[in-house]
Amino acid sequence: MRSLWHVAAHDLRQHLSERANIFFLFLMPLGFVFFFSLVNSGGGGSDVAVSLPVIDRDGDFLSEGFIAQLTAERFQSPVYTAAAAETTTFTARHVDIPEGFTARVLGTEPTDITLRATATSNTDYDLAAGVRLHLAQVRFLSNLWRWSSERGDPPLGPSLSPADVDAASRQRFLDLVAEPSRVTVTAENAGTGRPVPRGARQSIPGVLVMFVVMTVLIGGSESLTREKLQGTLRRLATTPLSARQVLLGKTLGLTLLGITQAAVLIVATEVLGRFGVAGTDFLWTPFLVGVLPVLLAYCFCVAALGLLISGLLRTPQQAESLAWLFGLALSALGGSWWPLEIMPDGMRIVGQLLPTGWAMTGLHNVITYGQGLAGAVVPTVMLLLIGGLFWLVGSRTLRVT
Amino acid sequence: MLQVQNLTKTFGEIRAVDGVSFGVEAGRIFGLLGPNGAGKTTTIAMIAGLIPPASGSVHVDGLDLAARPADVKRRLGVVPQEIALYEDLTARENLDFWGGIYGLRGKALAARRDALLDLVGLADRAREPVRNYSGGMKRRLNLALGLVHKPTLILLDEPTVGIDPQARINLLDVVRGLARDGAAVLYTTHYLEEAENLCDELAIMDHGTIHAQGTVESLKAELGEGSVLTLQGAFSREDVAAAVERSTGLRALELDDGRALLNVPRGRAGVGAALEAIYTSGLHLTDVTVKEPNLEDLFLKLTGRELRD
Ligand SMILES: Nc1ncnc2c1ncn2[C@@H]1O[C@H](COP(=O)(O)OP(=O)(O)OP(=O)(O)O)[C@@H](O)[C@H]1O
Ligand SMILES: [Mg+2]
Repeated sequence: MRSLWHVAAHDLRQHLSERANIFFLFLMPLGFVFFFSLVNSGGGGSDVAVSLPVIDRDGDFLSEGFIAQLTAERFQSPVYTAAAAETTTFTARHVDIPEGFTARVLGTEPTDITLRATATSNTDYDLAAGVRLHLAQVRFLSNLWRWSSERGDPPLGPSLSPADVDAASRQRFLDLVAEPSRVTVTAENAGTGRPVPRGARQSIPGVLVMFVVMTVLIGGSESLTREKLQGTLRRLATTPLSARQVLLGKTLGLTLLGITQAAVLIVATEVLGRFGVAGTDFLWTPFLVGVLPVLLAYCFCVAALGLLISGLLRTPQQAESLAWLFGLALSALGGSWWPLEIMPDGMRIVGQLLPTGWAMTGLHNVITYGQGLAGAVVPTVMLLLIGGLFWLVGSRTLRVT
Repeated sequence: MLQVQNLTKTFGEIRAVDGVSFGVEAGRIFGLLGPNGAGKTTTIAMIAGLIPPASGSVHVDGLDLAARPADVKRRLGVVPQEIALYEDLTARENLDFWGGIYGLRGKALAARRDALLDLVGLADRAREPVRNYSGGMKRRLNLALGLVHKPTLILLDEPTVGIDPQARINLLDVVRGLARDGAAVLYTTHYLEEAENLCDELAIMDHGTIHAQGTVESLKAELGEGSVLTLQGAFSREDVAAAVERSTGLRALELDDGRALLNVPRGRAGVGAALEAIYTSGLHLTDVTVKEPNLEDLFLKLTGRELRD
């Protein structure tokens, strides 16, 4: 047992003394914390202006009113005339108001406003925009109804032509649109019906989960394949340690590396939170009891995955590239870049099977949903099970002798 | 100290080690002499507990390796044929690490480490990363790492490959010193001179089996008293057999088409008479040598091929 710790401590020292690892362990993650805090406080929320250009082929007072309605829903809507639209290439989604829009609405003829999406639009962003666009339409229609009843027009009744509407009446419609709405609906696109973890509560655990998996997989598979090639792994098995114990020692070393990475991030972000740097006020301290078991199990799980990857490949270069790929894919799919809750169903289910997914679920349970230790139990057990499976397969693929 | 019985290992079709048995006493150096692919490393790997034998047993100090691997391995010092070091660490750090695995700590470890650095002549470069060492320096450190815990059975797998003559002499002295201090040493090599000069006892190995075993003297005695006459030329096996038949005192050690290895009785008259008999037999000869018998000849006699191809 003591020799096992000796091997693990030696490995950890080796990892920490490599300059490339210092960059990974300490500098990069902090950069990511800032970056993701900014990103996650934006998209998906409902209080940020979304850019939505409008092509106004109508140019009458109802289209003007509709555009005002969009602005009231916090869209940023630069207006293009039909002529201007001809010479403009729209790179993002935009709204197209057809010619004769006012006349058709007043004449109670059906009419369409087109929302044109482009290839570059991103889904969850569009979802948020879509909800707000619907709100704008509903409010536009209710304002139209109020305006019409104020004028004393019979409900659903006789069709008007734009010429029938005098200047004062037109202005009245625009005033109605400009009135603050009496009901405020806040829309969020949560797939599970729970609030989506946002801002620092998403980005800080996310960065932690990502950097633990990257550091452990890259550092671990690189060093293990190197030891395989340079014969030290085999030599370790000539000591009183059995092949299995050698691998346990290596796994323990990688687990310690993961724990170090997690600890660095926790301490650093805690300090940021206390001093309110970069607008974060997130603190770990209230959640540590629930967070610790999840993180320990997670570190073991990715260490075992590192063992598995090293067994599959021959050279440190091959292992390192595969580790990058695995690390990035696991981070993205497991919900450390953006919350699993906003992903399409299929991807969410895949994500929730991954170690990163379970780690994020555990952290969110404890942090965002305030479930404490109880919320950590299932994710911790799952991480230990997955890790155990990885270890069993890994200890067979990685040949010590 | 070491008892190996009937060890066997196959890799697919290859019988890498095939029924090998021998023993090494404390304070003795036992040589395993054989060409590339003879099965030396495979034998050592089984004794070191790295690969399980297909059959047979290994006992160290009376302990069965299969039953008590950790206790047996604690007594072993293994010096692998392939250099196995942490390249990023210095010689000191390497020694500290491997010593630590055997539970050495603090002053005891420091003293042992410094003694070993002196022993293999690396004391002045000990604080440099191994990466910067020459091949020979790495070899010497490779040896030192196997000795850090004062093992009672030392397995050395071709430890002198790639080092200069002076360093080789020093290293052989180190090995003699280990045996003098009471360790049992198993030493593999394909260098005859090394085997002859160093080993108290030898086994000649080829194709996974031991062909002869004993002290250097007893092995040489198998070639008979007298000299070894080697003939080469354009003759058939039958021609030379007939010639040997007709002569007096000549004894065939190894006969082949185009080559013959003959034993000549001691004394000038013996060699003269033998050469005459060969000459009169009318064999077409291109090369004739007469020399004292050595292990090379024995190897050729036992296996029908040269030790170094
Ligand atoms: N892991 C392995 N898989 C397949 N064949 C192997 C393996 N290890 C050794 N062999 C084969 O077993 C035979 C004995 O090899 P071994 O390494 O024991 O020879 P050796 O006497 O140490 O040779 P050398 O002097 O070249 O080191 C060889 O034919 C080799 O190809
Ligand atoms: Mg060998």
